[in-house]
Amino acid sequence: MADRSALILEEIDFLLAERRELAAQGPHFRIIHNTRGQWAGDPHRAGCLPGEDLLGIVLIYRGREYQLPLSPAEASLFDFLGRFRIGQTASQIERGIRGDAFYMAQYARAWKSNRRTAEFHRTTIKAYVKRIRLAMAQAFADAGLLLDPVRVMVSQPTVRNEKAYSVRARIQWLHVPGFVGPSRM
Amino acid sequence: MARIFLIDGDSVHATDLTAVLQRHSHRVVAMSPEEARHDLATILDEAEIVVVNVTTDSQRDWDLLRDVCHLAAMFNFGPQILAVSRTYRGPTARLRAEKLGGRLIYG
Repeated sequence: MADRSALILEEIDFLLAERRELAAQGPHFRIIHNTRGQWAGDPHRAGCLPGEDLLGIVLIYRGREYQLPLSPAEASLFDFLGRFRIGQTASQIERGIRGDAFYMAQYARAWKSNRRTAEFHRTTIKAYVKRIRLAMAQAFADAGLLLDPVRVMVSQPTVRNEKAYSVRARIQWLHVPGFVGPSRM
Repeated sequence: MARIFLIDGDSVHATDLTAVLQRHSHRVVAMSPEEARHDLATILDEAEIVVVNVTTDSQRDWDLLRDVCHLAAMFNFGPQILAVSRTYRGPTARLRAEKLGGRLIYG
């Protein structure tokens, strides 16, 4: 029993550490940007340049990656919210995304390749949030991660009649030189 | 140190494991699968770790593990689930537990 119980105790220590980390930081997501042949600089920098392409968002759990099935608009919203520690209301999101060269350049490229242009209006953000939660639920299920997406893609009421949205997670950006070609999302 | 619920149909194994865990300062509540099924939601609300003995490898064991994992996912950063088996069942059983959201240890 001694050797076997040592294994169980070790595993319990690991699970407790994992639980503490999840409670403190939330799950770990990686947002991958394709620099489309440009010099990427520090691959983990948070700032993003116009002309980069949002390749995808993956959940990292126990050493494996699980892609979130998101449209370009939903992925952009996730990317945008990931940059803020505090919640953003729909009007703040709309203003922020429309005023950001990275997101606007992405949409322009999507337009040229005859893809559906992602639109950011206050009225559609609520729907995007729901879809992000569905995508998270799928990734969590695939990963066997016991988390409720509502606790990660958080919406909190404000004193005004609107909600503030935030992603309660550890988010890392990865810039890869990638290929020069049409957007993959 | 941690609040642990042990769901174990083997009373001898449950007693041994409870003693080991308590020696390491864990607070342990042991119960049979039948007892656990009655009050699963309360158990999951209070526990940090739930240990499920799946040694018999029966469908009932795995159904219980599945129910525990599914219900745990509904709590705000709910308990972590650890399945234990005294019999080695190979990597397939470990993968099966991981897909449910738990971990399996042969111990």
